[in-house]
Amino acid sequence: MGLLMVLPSAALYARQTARTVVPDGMVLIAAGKYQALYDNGGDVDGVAVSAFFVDENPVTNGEFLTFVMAHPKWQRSYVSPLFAESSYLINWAGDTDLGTVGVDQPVTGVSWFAAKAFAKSKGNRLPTVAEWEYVAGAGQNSPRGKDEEDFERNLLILTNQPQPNPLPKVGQSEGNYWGVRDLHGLVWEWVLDFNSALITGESRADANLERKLFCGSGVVGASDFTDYTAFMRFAFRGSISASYSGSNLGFRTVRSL
Amino acid sequence: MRFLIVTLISLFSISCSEKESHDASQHDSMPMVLESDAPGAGDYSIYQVESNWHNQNATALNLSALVGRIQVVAMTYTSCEMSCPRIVAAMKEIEKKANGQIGFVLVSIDPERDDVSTLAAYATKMNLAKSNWNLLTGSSDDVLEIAALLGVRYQKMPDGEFAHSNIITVLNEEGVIVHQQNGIAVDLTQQTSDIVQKLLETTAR
Repeated sequence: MGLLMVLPSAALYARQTARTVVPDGMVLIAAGKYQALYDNGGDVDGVAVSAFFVDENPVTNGEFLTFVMAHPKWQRSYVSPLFAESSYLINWAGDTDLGTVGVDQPVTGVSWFAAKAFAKSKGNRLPTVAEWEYVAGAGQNSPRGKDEEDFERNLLILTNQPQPNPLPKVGQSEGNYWGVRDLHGLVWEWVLDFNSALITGESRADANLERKLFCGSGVVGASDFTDYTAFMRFAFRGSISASYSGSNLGFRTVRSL
Repeated sequence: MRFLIVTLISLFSISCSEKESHDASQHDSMPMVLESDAPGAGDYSIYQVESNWHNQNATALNLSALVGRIQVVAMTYTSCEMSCPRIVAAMKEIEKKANGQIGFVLVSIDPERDDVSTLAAYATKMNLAKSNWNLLTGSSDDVLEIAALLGVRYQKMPDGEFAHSNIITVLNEEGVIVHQQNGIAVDLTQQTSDIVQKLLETTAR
């Protein structure tokens, strides 16, 4: 607790916690700055992120089942192919039957459209890239994991592990500084503006994000060369379309204050 | 570590060649609207989304209002001085050859600045015929959604400009994507124009 008192944002965080009702299963994230992997020549202090609530854990199969039962258009045999690939919820036994898939495992095989609709049904939304990266960049003891010894090494080890099959239950990893769990190493997660990560047929030479992000030497444009896991996330976001429903991709939701 | 490197390399190589493979898969999987009893199943029309828009005449509309006519769609913003005027020019080129038989839609990726009156002024400035053109503005959420549907990627830059894909999409009368032009080269526009002509001939028969 001694450490909290010396951080200016911690005092604000404590005040916000005191007067804000935190929704069930969510955690309050205090406002701060997110140091973008690609700063595009903007503010060197990073992108300002307002305070918000975020799910403590990724959305589970059980939660998603409740959602599709209330909204049949998101069941496997009813979903429009415009909104989800044929691999949508493919590990479930049926439209409303999880089969051998665990209720408490993170849901995967969901498209961006489906994740967005789920979030909306809760009065929430998907996190932006800046919000997600801001939360995921926190260490054990501070909002800036990069300042902690071994932070990036530990992330690499987590990200390096093959995805276990079956997936473990959510919430088993240690929470980070904010108390948010499973950000690294369990599943990839959708973000609201995933489609800002890559520009093809781009309009301006100085906005050539594709070159910056994807082709070998382009890496020199990044603000932090050591952040391999962030490179992986940016590359992944740039490679998928909104109907993608892969077995390694889940999500969590956020709510503005 | 080896696993990580292999993953990175495969992600990078997929991404570097994404443009061609993506284009190819779009043509391969180019769907016709399938008959089905299940709600939504087999329906590739982008008109099924429930987003709300206003056009340059302050008329509120859903995308389904565009049904019944071939539509040529692009995502731009009015203060853009680089590629957007060229996208509009390419669309006007297509319009010239189509003799007023098809519609044109410009969805603003800058809804903060592009309100109805800004769109109206832009339509006048660019000399876009009211009967053929819809310039649309909506919530940033709905803009993101239609961008996801059209495969358009965009990002606001710190200077207030946007980096964005230059994609021109042709929708058939039902709102199904039948062609996408990625880039604004003259020969690509000619190709799009030819495809529109073919579609019009098929419809006339």
